Amino acid sequence: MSRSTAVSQLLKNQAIWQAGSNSSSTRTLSTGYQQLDEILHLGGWPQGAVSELLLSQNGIGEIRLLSPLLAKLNRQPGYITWINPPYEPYPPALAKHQLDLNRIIVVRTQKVVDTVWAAQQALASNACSAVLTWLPNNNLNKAIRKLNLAAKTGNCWGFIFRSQQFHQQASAAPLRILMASEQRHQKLSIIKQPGGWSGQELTLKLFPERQYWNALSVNHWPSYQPSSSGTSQIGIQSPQSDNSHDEISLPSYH
Amino acid sequence: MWLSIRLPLLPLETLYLSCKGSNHEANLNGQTNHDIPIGVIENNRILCANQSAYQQGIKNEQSIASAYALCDQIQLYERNKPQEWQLLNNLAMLIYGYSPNIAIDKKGLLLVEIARSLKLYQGLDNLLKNIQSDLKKESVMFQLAIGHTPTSAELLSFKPLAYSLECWVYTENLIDKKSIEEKLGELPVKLMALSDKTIDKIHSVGIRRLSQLKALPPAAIRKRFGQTVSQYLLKLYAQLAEPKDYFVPPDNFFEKLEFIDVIHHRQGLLFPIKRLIKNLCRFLTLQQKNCQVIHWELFDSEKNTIGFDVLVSDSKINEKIYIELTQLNLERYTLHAPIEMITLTANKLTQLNAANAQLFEQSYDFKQDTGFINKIRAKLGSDSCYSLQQQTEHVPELAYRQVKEIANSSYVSKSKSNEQETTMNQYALGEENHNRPSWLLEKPKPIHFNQQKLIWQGELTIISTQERITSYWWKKKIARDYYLAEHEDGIIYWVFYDQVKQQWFLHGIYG
Repeated sequence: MSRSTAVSQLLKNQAIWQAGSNSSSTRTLSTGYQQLDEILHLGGWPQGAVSELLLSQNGIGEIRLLSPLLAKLNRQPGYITWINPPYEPYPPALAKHQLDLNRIIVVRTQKVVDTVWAAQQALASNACSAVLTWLPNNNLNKAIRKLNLAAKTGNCWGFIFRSQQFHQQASAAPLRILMASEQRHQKLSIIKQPGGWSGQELTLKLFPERQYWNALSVNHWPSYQPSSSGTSQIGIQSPQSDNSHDEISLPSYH
Repeated sequence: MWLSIRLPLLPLETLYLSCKGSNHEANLNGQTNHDIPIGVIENNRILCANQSAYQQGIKNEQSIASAYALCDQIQLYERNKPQEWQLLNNLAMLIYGYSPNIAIDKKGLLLVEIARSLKLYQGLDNLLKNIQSDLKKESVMFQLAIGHTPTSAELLSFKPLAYSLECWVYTENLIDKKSIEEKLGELPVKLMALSDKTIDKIHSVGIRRLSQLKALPPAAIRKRFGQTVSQYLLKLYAQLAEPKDYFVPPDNFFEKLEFIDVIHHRQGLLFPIKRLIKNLCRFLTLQQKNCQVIHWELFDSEKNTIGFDVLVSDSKINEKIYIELTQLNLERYTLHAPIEMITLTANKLTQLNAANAQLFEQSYDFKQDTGFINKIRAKLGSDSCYSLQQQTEHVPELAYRQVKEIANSSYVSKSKSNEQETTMNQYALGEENHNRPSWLLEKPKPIHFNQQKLIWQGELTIISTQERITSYWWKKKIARDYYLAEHEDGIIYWVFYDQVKQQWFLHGIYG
């Protein structure tokens, strides 16, 4: 039985979700977190699309979330471009996440238009395997649509980071995840995802080593000066004069 | 075996380069008759003119006054010899692909030794066809001729190509000497590249054709008309060797374009920019060289100069990308006065590292191509892109460095990347098994300690033991105790207590 050409052409369009078929031509790579892979219908981060991460705050664990993917992509040719990260990516930590620094490029821009333009260039270049873009708190829905098209052209993994305040606004990004920090774990809510229904929620422990970290009681902190007693009982003496300081630091340096 | 390429309208065609209008370009590509009569003058006489000027009765060697009398709308321009020479060199560069032995004649002529190129191009016809199609793309008028000596080729180029081709013996792939001498004999004497005075002298004895001149005894020719004529004839008939200075392609690229009509806006510069870049790309392709930086200079009528570098560090020569990058760079400048001249320079050429392309494209692989970086830098400045490098330093903010040079890692072999990985793993497992934050603040931010909690947009609690970092005791002492601190909203920060300043600081975030 042959379908009419119009229908078969329509079916080729990736933007159309066919409820009946599970198979998808979108290539994905595992997120590295099994729980997250399970709730994503495509089973990972989609290639050739922009995924949007809405953060309650920068530094919430977004790099941890992406580092398994980035490490995987980094083993193949292709640059990983960071556009306008809120702080400086710290190479010793990146090296620990097994990212090859030679293939990491940081772009700094002044204006929003430039940010979007640079992101578009990087996404569409087909020389970047991943492009991470931090967008300012503007309404940039049109720009996101552009970026998504650019990601399709370059067939790479695009990520945009925005503030969580935009989670109720429409966005052209096919995958949208709201990320918030709760005590000792991160809560991910899927706002939108390709290939099926959204609305899933998930908590991830992005910092598994946290269980070994225990609060240090305040009287062990270096500058702690109990107001009642004049002398401190702990190893580190504080405050110290500069002269005595040199004597301490010299042996510790050798 | 020589091929001569005569460019009769070279002064005029040079002029078209200087006219900014793309309409000339269209005209050159399309039909030859231009609407406006244009002429080139030298020593107050018409040197050559375009079709519509000739139609109005303009003739070469006419004075300016009579030219204006015949046609009052004629536009006359002074001949621009340096630019003509540049165009000739460019064409020589083009023909250089066919033969290494090219002599440039100042009269607007290229003499090419083609005997050794015949085999490669499988015969004369093929070779000529290729050269013709290349020259047509350059939109110049040309006449070709072959000859057994450079002088004979030069002389025969006054006649159509078919005339000299009649001497070609296809079966043996050589020129028949007898028939070419016959052909030369039919040519009028006045075509010889000799001074007018000498030609008049020859005419005065009633000699009109070369065959008549050839019939005279050589001694008589020398006595009557002088050494130059006899030498010319000896060279013409291959009895005297005729060494030529061959064209040597320059090591670096430098070209300029002067404009007759000044250019007022950026859009108008596009056409000359394209032209120069096209020449540059041809130059690079022929030399199998690659350049990292090209340098543009724009000269305006107020004697100001705008100069800028365009970074094109890429492994391949690509006209389109060069033009795009130049345009992006140009957008950053404002033109204060109309532009009179532009120049393009490319020094520091490196060997082209031609990478072998895969026959079948691999679908999921990304190419190692710094093109997008060049683009972003061209538009947003060279500071906008950098890569990071790790330093063996103990002090956290010194343990990395921003690097402007971005490695084109296409040459990094697979094995090396594996190696890197293992060293990286060792690094991770080895001595420095400390937790490092993904984000580092450019400058540590001071935070307040109220003897109970650390205060920074909320409360922080220390959750790790200390890691002491001291260094530079000989210079500017650094002594810090680093801790992990948990914010009340769950984010983990990297904080330190500065022993010198006795103050708490926030330095990083575990993103």
